[in-house]
Amino acid sequence: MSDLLLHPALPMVIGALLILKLSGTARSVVLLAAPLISLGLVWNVTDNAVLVAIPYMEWTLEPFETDRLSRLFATVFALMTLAGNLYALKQEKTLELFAANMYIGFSMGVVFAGDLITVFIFWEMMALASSTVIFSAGTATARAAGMRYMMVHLLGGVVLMAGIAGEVASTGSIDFVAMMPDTLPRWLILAGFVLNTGAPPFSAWVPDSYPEASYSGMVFLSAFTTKTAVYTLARGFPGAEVLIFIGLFMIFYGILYGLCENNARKMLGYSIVNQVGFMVTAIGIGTELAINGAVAHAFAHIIYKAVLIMATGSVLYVTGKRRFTEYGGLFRTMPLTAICCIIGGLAISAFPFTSGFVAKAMFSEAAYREGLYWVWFLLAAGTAGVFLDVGIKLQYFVFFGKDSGLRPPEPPVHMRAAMIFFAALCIIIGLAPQTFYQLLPYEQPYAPYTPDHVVTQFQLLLFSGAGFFLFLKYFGWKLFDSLTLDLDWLYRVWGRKLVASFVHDAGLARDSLIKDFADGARGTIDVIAHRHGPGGILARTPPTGRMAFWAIVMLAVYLLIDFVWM
Amino acid sequence: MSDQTQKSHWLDDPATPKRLWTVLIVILVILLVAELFVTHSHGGLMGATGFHAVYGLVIGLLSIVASKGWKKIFKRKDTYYDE
Repeated sequence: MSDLLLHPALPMVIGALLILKLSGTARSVVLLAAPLISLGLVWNVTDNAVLVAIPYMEWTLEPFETDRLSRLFATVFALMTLAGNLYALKQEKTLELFAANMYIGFSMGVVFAGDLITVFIFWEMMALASSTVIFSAGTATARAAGMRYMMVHLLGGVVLMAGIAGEVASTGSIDFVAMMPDTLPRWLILAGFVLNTGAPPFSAWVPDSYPEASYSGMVFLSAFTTKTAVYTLARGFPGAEVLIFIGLFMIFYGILYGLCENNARKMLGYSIVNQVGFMVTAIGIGTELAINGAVAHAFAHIIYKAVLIMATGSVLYVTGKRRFTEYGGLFRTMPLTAICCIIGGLAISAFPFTSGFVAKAMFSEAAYREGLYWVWFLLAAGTAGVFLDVGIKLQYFVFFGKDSGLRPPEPPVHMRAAMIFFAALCIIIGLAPQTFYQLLPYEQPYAPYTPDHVVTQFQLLLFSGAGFFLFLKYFGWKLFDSLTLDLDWLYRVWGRKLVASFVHDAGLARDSLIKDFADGARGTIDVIAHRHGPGGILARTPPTGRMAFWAIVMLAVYLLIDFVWM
Repeated sequence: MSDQTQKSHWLDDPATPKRLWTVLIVILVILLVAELFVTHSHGGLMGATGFHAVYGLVIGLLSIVASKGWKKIFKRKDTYYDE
């Protein structure tokens, strides 16, 4: 049992509880120490071992099982917590920090879970804690978005629960191991996991809810739910072909809506779906190289996406504005934020010498080696599309473009430090890929920096950028204060109408039922009143004479019967 | 700080976009030339000389056409969901 004390989630949970009571320097120390202790624990656990086993009914729960895949995710989760807590060091809403750190602890619970029941328990706790992060922003729109977020995740939880129950009933095992979607329960488990990646038809929950969190809340949210889902898919469903199609949908959905979007952080929400789409596709390809690529991409993505969200969060923090149409020319007074954001943009676009390049290269190569050429072409198109979206559009409209006249200062020093830390990691990973590759679950030698690959990647990206600007001049481009209808329309309008019409029809049915019942009851009452009421036939006091008469009649009948039969 | 904001930035110079285009075109030409000296590891169209450049241009065009078209169909007022 003592091994449970070494679970890397524990420092996060204890830290979260402590900050409820602490303030000032002590609070800052806890916020920074907890992830560091957790990181130390991650790197000191024995590999490939079941460290804790708890008997539960006829099964054995394994809440602490370790291997290289778990360690990779736990490592980047701890790093992300360090940067996130540093960025949010002065966040006045303690509830947000409490919920965020609990949420991270629960994600680590999923990452180290050796059985499906433990996965499910932490999965649901993550949903509650992450909803609280959104709610804690305190605005009316955050409350509404948080409710929609929670409903989608509770639905996903029910589907996952049904799948797990079916799986346990049919196989008798609760072990969380690689499976194929070949039975209904396994399809349900897959659906539960996939829902948390931002897959269709619920893709909209990411861009709908995350931007409503506070400037720091979204930094936490961006990293854990979708990436925990990627982890569960990588462990549970490597090579499930359906994931290729789901992933590719997510890639292009994210780019298309990102290009249409006017809210900077909502656009980054679409970009999360797009990036997770790459990972889901890679898991669908399923070879060792592809899985290495998927999880390397998850690792790299958590870091560069955090840089991008920290930069746009900083802009929100200092200007109080959210829309591209309100920004422009901010590089003048926020050069450091701009540089960090550009580095994040280069990394997400997979420019050579950044983390995105060394990660993404692996699964494109895996698609090629598997003969999935059409997937290779679409992945390349997606890569170029991301550059146009986050590499060009975001940077241009926030930091350059038309001067908005805004001259905001750089954000406070701790927020700058967090951005620099992660922007530096984007470059370091890009420059030392072989060290980074040692973290990956499979021994698959891969060399990203061949002259061919570097030159063609630069060509793909820069020509797409040049083409974009060229055709932009030709076609014109305008951003509007508008929204673009998305899949959440299904439940925000159509679903609502469905419910409303149900309520209406049910109301009619109820009214008619009540009327029938009332009519019936009234009729009965009338009959009773007629018989027993004042003047009713059964309520009259019978006169003695009539009683004597009827007694004589009865006696006469009795006499007659007696006479006839005897 | 106020001095800095008053000072005109080189990016504000009206000649800058033209210069950036020139730099970009030079880089693109260098990339096309450089490709002649590398051995492609992939076969077929994926390893064809100039493929990545053309593909990039096509994606640039498609992105604009697709997003403008999509916006045309699905654009709604900001307050669409606020009843």
